[in-house]
Amino acid sequence: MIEVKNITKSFGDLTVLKNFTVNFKEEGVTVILGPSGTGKSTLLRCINGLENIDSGDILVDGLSVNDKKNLRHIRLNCGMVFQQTVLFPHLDVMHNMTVSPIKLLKLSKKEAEERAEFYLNKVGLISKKKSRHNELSGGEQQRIAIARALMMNPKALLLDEVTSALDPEMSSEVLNILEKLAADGVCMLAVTHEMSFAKKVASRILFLDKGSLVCDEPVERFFRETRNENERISRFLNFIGE
Amino acid sequence: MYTLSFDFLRQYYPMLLQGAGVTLLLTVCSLALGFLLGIIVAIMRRSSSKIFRAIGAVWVEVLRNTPFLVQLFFFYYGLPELGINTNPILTGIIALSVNISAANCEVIRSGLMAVKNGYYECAYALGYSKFQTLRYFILPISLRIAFRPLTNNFINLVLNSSATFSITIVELMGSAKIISAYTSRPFEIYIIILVGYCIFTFVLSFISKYVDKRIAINL
Repeated sequence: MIEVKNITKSFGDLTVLKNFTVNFKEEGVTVILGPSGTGKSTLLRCINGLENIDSGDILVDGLSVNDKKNLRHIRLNCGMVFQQTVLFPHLDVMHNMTVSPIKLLKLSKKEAEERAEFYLNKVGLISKKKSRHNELSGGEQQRIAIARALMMNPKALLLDEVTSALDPEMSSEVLNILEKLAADGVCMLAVTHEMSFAKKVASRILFLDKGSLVCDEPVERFFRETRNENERISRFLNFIGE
Repeated sequence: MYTLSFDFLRQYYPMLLQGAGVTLLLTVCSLALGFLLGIIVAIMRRSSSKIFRAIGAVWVEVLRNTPFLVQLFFFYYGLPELGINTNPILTGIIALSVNISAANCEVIRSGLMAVKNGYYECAYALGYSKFQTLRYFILPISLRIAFRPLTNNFINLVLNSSATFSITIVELMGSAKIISAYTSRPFEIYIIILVGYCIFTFVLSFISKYVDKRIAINL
């Protein structure tokens, strides 16, 4: 579904991704690990077309992100949730959920509201449908942001450190939702430092270092064997207390 | 000792009301047109195109650095020279709208700049185009941020509308001048006009406070 072909991305003199190649199928949860500044978030942003790539190509459903005409299709198919939750402040939760399906998918208001209620139930926040963003906790906002991304029926969810701005309690609220979604078969690409989530939910781990792919392994092998075989990975996991 | 007398009002109050009606018309039309122009110029000033940014900057600088009366005469005498025949009221509305658009532009531009980049990215990531992002999210947010300072511009617009009597528009100030000439009671009539403008601006201020409370957002 997503083919990342030999991409390079730099910010000024800093090369964040170097000749990076990887493929994602339309199934399972892939967790992207690595130290800060190694290009994990940039990879997700490049897939979603939020960053222009310097060379190479990314195909989503066979459509290139380099062609601006494809961006809407790509973005509708790859829902993205950011580290800092962004609920539009002039809209309540229900409108935040329904505005995009109505404007972009041309759903009727009734259909959009029914779909919103389904997903709000799924994230356990149906009671907050009339609330504004400043009446919600960080964890609740992030759960709404996930539900809002799901409203567009994306083929994959790109999750960019969605719990890193939250305290442990709120993080666990969000991770529980993501576990449920994974159990429902939602395809996810998640940049995270939550190792327990990776172990429990991921089917595949990518480890990035200095803009390159260091390893691409099934989760069991990564935590059982690769960490002992690769000094860099071992150092990283030891450092974060794994 | 001068004795105040408002007896002339019985005869001339219809003229005053008519003048107030013209002031209201000038203000409401210029407010709407100046608001739209302000949005357009603010977007031009935030554009990635150097040409649009330059046009926007020249628009604002020229209008903010020239007296309104000069702009008013420029339109009053200039438009017919360009073959555009308008009546004084339309000319007044154009001049007031163009004048206030510069101030509106700067307030709206500051509102646009106050909107976090995350809102743009979030909308793009959801699949919205640049125009849709601006239309559905960025402008509604930035206009809410900018609403209070915009109301100051609207009050200035009401006050500036008094200058349009100089191009033969019989608005509140113009009607006062005529009544003053007829009655030789300038002091009384200008007291009434002062109160009239105060009422206009107080009402506008009250409405804007009410609207601001309803649309205010916490970013």
